[in-house]
Amino acid sequence: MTMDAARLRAWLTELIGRFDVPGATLGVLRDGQIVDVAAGVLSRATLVPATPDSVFQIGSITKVWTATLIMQLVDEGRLALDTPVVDVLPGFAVADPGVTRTVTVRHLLTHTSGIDGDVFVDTGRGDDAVERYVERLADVAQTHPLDATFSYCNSGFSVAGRIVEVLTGLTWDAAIRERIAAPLGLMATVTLPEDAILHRAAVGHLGEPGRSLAPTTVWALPRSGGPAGRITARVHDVLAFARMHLAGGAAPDGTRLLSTASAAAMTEHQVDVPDPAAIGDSWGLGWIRFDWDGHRLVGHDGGTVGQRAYLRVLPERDVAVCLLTNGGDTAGMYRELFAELADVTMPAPFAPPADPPAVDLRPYVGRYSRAGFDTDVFARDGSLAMRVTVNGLLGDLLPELSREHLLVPVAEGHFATRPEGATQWEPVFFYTLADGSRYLHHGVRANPRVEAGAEPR
Amino acid sequence: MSLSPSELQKEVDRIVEKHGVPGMVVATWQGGVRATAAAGVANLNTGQPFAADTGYLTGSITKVWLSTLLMTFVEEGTLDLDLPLVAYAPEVQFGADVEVAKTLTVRHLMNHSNGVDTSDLFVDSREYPDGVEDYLPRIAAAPKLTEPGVVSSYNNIGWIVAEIVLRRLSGRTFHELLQERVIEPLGLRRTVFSPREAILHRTAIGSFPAAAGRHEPTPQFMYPSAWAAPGTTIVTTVDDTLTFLRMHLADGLVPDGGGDARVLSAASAQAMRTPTSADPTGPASGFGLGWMYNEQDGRRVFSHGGGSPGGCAYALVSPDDDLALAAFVNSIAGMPPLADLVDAVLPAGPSPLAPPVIGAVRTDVDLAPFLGRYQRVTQRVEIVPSPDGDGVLVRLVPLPDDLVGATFPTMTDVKEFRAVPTAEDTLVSHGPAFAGSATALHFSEPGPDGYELVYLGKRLARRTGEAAAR
Repeated sequence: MTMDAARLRAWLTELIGRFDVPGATLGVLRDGQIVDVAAGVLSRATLVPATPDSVFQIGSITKVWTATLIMQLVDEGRLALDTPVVDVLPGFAVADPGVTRTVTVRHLLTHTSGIDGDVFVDTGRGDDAVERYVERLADVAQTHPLDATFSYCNSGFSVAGRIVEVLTGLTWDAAIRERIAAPLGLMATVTLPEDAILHRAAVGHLGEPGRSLAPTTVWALPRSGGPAGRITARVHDVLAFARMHLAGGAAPDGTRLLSTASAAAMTEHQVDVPDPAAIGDSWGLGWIRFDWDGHRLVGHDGGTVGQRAYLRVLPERDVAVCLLTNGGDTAGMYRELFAELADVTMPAPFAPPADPPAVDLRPYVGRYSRAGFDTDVFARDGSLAMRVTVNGLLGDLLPELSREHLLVPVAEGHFATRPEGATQWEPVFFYTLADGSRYLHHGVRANPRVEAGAEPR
Repeated sequence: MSLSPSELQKEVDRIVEKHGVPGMVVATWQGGVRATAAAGVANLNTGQPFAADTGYLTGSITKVWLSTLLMTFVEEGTLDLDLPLVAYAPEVQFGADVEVAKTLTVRHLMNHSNGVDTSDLFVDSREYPDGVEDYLPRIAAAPKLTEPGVVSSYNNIGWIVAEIVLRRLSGRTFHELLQERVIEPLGLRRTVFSPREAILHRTAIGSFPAAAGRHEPTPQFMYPSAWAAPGTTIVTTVDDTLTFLRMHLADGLVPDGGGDARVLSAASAQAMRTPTSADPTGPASGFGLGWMYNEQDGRRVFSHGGGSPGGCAYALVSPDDDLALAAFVNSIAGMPPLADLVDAVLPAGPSPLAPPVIGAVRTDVDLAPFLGRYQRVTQRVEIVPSPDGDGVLVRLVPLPDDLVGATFPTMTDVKEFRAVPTAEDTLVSHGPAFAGSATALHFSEPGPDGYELVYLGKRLARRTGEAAAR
């Protein structure tokens, strides 16, 4: 046990107490070596201690793995980034026939397809779950026109996962196992609950940090969303995956998983995020791109039913840090942890100025809707507020997503909101496309305005 | 004389130590008192210990839960156990003999007397619930082991057919109906249907003996989910199981319900405990509806075991003693520790897990009628004269093609042991056999080539035309 591990563990223990995080694992990759520590418990119901080998849901960090599977197929010449999805997925369709014909693999990996991203449908626990999910997209409409802007798209990654299934003849789960986990020698990376249960597995916690945190009654989202966010892994394995990317696509034993060109392409700029304060400034292929004080990082966050994960990779120093948690004020904890660990100055946390500017609220008022999410923005007592109503499966699973937010002005078109019990502010960004259509960007998603000046229902 | 909670704990500690299994969890109801005990490690991957509320796969004990559910349909008049099951599911042909298939009833499924050779069949199937239907084509081709309604031969697939009948009747699945009609009325909080639910709680995983007295954790948590009805999906605790068993002891009343809330009528609970079909060995053991029964000196106990990858679950009620027992050992070699547990908790017997009473070896019995090759869908039994002239050599050969998704290295090993006659129709293993205790093979249907049927492990196998390889 090195001094580093002991110090990390003590620090992590102190942090989880302060931020009301039930349990966490933290790993640091430096000079090719991984140090991992744990603190707290897997569940406040069972009180089973978290250990470094405990598996947590890494959520959307999974998307970088799915993107890696796609890039392996690109390396193998099975498809190109600009291959239309219909060419590799016969029968693929979304509601918009033009998008059906022209959406490409690149659009899926860069969240620019405009296909409604939060379609949560349970297609069962069988090997055909992703296939059946993609079939259900035939009725799904656009959040925005193809290529017009950026809106976080989970459904697009399930489509990408289905492409992997069709081209490899494997389930997405088997593809992760055989094409990434096995060559990297990962001992605790799984995608199904029946495999996670063989390990110490974290349980997510929902509720307000410091007040009402309790274990979730639904462990995971359905299998249909696998390629978008269902990997469950120990922190060591996530960093071993990052190490492969830092090494340009090679495993420590020399096995090549990706060409250097593909590994690099994943980190390169593809599209800007409309809201510069959201998370990172741009996207690569799967990877989110960050600029911290002039230093370039790539990474991804993950959020599931009460578990949150953070991965940041600093290529110029061959350093990566991964934090896996099961609830509480994880955004606050991430902030404090990574600022020190990456040894790079993080951007100042997003927050409204002490003296918020006076802003004309009228242009923003209205109803903004995408499938399953209605956001009503209205003025009340001279301030702007928004009410988010989440419908369908996600709304039932995570009722706390449906709530009212007070919006504090930061600048013209830019507001800040802070959920109850959280220490971090979230940005809400209003913008207009070239064709004049208005959008609200929140939670990395674009919401088109459907009614101007609507009163809340 | 009941075991107090601390005596039970001492006994469990002793049993785990003696047998070298990773761990065990037990709950008993004796003398109106509940006791639980837990010892050892529940998960060899993680080192987590067994706690009183550690969940585990209940395996085939599911059949008693499903029987309970089926009786609720009998009570409301929507299911008649003695109507041909094709009245409810016309497209289902259970067995290649079409005429016999038309006469099979749900009772024949519930007491394992249907005679269809499908016992441990695992086909390549989808996940539950769709995968249940994947069994239909194969079972329509299944050979006949015996005429129905004569003797019991353990048949898991009969329970898949029972679920199909339930689905056609109600339009709902076994999982849904059990939740509604049994689990919720009993107020059970820890009886769930998938790893996705079980993972929220402490859950044990199985293990297999490896070299040098160690155990290795199972690489696979559960058997294929399409076998939900025979018993591969339910994860429960000893406490929840005990509540279920106490309901049966109380003839269907919800225990501690404080009133007259019922899961079953008294008549239904008693019907499940009434012998309806005997084992080929004779009337001292067999099945009621779902329950296995064992009878000795006028006493009857009702029980069921449950297997999972690397795990042995067990449930027993003794109405004469107002006694119930629920237990789980996380080793494939869990039956001997469970046998010791039953001996400690139920000293008056009869223990369903007691090794067969072995009579004196009969040197006058002709071995020829035993010799030959017998088969059932997933196992071949080869019996040849023992090379040293002392009795016979029995070889049990698994047929893994019909065990899709349900094989493990130890499962596909050929087991071989010596056996000697102790009666005209019985061979008993001589030396180490299954998990350390003697195995009896019972033979029936004498014919020109020898006996036509051999019975072991609660299952019949029928003589094939071929001679056994030497």
